[in-house]
Amino acid sequence: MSLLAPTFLVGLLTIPLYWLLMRARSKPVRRALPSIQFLEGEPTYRGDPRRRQRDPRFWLTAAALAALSLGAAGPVLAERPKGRIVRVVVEAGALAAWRPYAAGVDSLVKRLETEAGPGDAVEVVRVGEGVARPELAALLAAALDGRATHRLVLSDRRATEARPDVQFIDPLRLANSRAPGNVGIVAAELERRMGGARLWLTIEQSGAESAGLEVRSNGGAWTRIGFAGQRGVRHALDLTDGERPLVVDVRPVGGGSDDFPLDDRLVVDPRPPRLALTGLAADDPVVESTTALTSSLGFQRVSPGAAADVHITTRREEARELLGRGVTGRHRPVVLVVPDADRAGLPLRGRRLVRAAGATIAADLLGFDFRWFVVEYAVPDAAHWAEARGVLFLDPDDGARSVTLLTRLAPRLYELHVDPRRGTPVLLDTPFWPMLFAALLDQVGRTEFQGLLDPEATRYGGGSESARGAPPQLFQRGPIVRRAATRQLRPWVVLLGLILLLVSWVFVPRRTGVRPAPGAP
Amino acid sequence: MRDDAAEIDDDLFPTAFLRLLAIVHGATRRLHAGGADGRRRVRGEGGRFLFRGHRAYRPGDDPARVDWKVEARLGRLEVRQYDPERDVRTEVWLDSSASMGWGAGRRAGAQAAALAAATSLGEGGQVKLGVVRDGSLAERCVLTESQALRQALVHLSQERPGRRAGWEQALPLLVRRVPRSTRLIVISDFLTRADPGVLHALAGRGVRGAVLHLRMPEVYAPEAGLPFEAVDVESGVTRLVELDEHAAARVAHRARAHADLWAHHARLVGLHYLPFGPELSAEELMRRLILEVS
Repeated sequence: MSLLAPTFLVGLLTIPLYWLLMRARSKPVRRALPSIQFLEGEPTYRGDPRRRQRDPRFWLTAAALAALSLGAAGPVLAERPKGRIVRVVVEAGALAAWRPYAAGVDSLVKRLETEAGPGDAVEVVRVGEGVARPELAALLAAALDGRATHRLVLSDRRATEARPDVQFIDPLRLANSRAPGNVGIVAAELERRMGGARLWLTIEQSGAESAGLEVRSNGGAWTRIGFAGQRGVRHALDLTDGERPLVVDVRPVGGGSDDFPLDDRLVVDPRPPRLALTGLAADDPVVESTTALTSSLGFQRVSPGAAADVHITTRREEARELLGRGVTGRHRPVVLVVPDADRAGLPLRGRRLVRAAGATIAADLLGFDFRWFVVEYAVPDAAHWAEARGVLFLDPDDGARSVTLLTRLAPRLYELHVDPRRGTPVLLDTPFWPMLFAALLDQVGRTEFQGLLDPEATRYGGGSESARGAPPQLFQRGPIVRRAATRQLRPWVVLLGLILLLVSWVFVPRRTGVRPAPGAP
Repeated sequence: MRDDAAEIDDDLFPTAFLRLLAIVHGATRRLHAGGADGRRRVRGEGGRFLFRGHRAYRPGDDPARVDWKVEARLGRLEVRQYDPERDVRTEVWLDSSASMGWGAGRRAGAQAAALAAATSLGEGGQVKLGVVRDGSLAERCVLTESQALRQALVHLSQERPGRRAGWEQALPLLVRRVPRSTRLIVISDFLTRADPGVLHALAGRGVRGAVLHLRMPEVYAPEAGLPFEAVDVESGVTRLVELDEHAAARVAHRARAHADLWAHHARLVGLHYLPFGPELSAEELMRRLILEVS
């Protein structure tokens, strides 16, 4: 019941009406005294003595009228939930930049509330953006504590790192009520040959039950390359010089589950890319140290094929600067993520504004004094959101979708540059590739992409290796929340009003007439 | 058979008060034990034989009492004082106006009258009990022994305060009627415009006694509060007033000045001034009557 209920408001109008009636009928308080001869020096009171009378009967009657009005409006009391309490903690983190994420969370919460019944309640706790990891851990601890019997945490991997003891749930799986399935090209290698090249594809199927795989090139006929129960297959395609580009599509057999269509197609341009990877400079001016640091970066790990496809340069410029170059065009920053930066005490998190090209962010990373270089990818005066996982840049130029993921997997520092249009036939074998795809999708507006999966979930179809292939546990329990119960208060409020009315008119005398003398027998 | 006890108002004279009243006679007699020539030797002009001593001459003294030998020897006027040879006559006059019946004033006044009569009987002699109303004096009973105190209680129980005291007329009348060497006890709230200077007519007549002034807290210490319409219980006159703290203080000041005026004139003529009220216990009032008035 709202306090603006018409019945209640109309009922309240009886109080001023009663006041007017009492005022019209009331008389000044009369007090008998043995003598008033000592009052004769005092001025006669000119005001209306009725206005300031404290008449307990009036107030009791007014309270009774208010109670009766309230009772007529039918008040209810929201009882403390007796059943289970589900607390949903939403920590968007880096996923906040991804538009479908919020819709997925809202869909989940709405579904939980729909399935709620009497006795249970749903509580939604949203963690603000730009929270540092130590603070995030504290916030999560506070959000998870309390009287909740069930706790769901919707988060990116950052929260997982903050609370490794908590089971995090992917909102996509909750929203779809099933484990997502995917068939995609997860890796490709280009093997140069005389007069052509051979493209080695690694195709995997995850999530749903495997029904077999099919592949086609340049829109040709589908070829079955796998069989039911097979989750991974390595397939080779031969290319001849002058044949470009090569478009490869994969799909599950028989229209199986494939929730991530973006990795279903690979465009391969056999021409060598001009530049794909940029370099790093350390703070140590000693050449040997710089070389040692560069060699430890492990760029080879992300090299897709021949060395010609990746060009690594190392340059030291006034030392203590991390430099990036080789990406042309205007690039719009999307997400800046620096893994383990918080652990190193880096003040990189939060919203930052790049005022001009050449700006750097100083940071002391594991004893090395780095300067975070963002200019070549950033639009001046644009807000850059610093997170703890790397830098994801998008190039909105026409047809030149370029994604740069700058990340650091301690103690190594990676800068990966993927340019599908320019023929870098690489699908990165990195835990961040779903995020990369999601950012890409968000940029191009592909709405059919329904969700974002944790890499572990993508790989195994479940939350963990042990849960591989098993449907999400949440929905095995059936409806877990119900709406909070209420109790009708009308009889009690009406009874209270009647009691007040009885007391005021039977037991409380009016404050008018001659007041009895104090102590009179 | 008539049951006298049933005629005594239990509200006015509860059992505890009656027990107290029963010991007044004995206590008074023990205090004045050893008296000679009658039951009680009293101060005053007295007779001719029981010489008590000298005191300085005051205007109004009988010239026959001047000791001329002392004057010749010391050069100052001294009068001889003698103890009387007869019993003391006491008159107790109770204000029975409506203001005395307001609140707890009726009980306080009635108990004060009963205590005054009891202490006087304890000292011996006669006690006349009367009331003042409408400017006249009405004698209710004459008590000669303590066993007759019940009669006084019955009369006091039957007394219904009402109308006005009329001290403007009653006080000169009382002063004229009081015999010489009488102990006079007047019990009233003195909420009147009568001139207390009339009491000066008692000077030089050997009248002693006390003025018992009933002072109700509602009159002498009014509380500040909301506006109200004050009603005089005697005259019925109303007045709409608001007593804030300052006004309440002014009213209390006027009341105290009024009481001080009565106390001043009473003391000038040798009468004790005893203020009392409902808050004063009967035991305390009895103690004061015995020690200060007797």
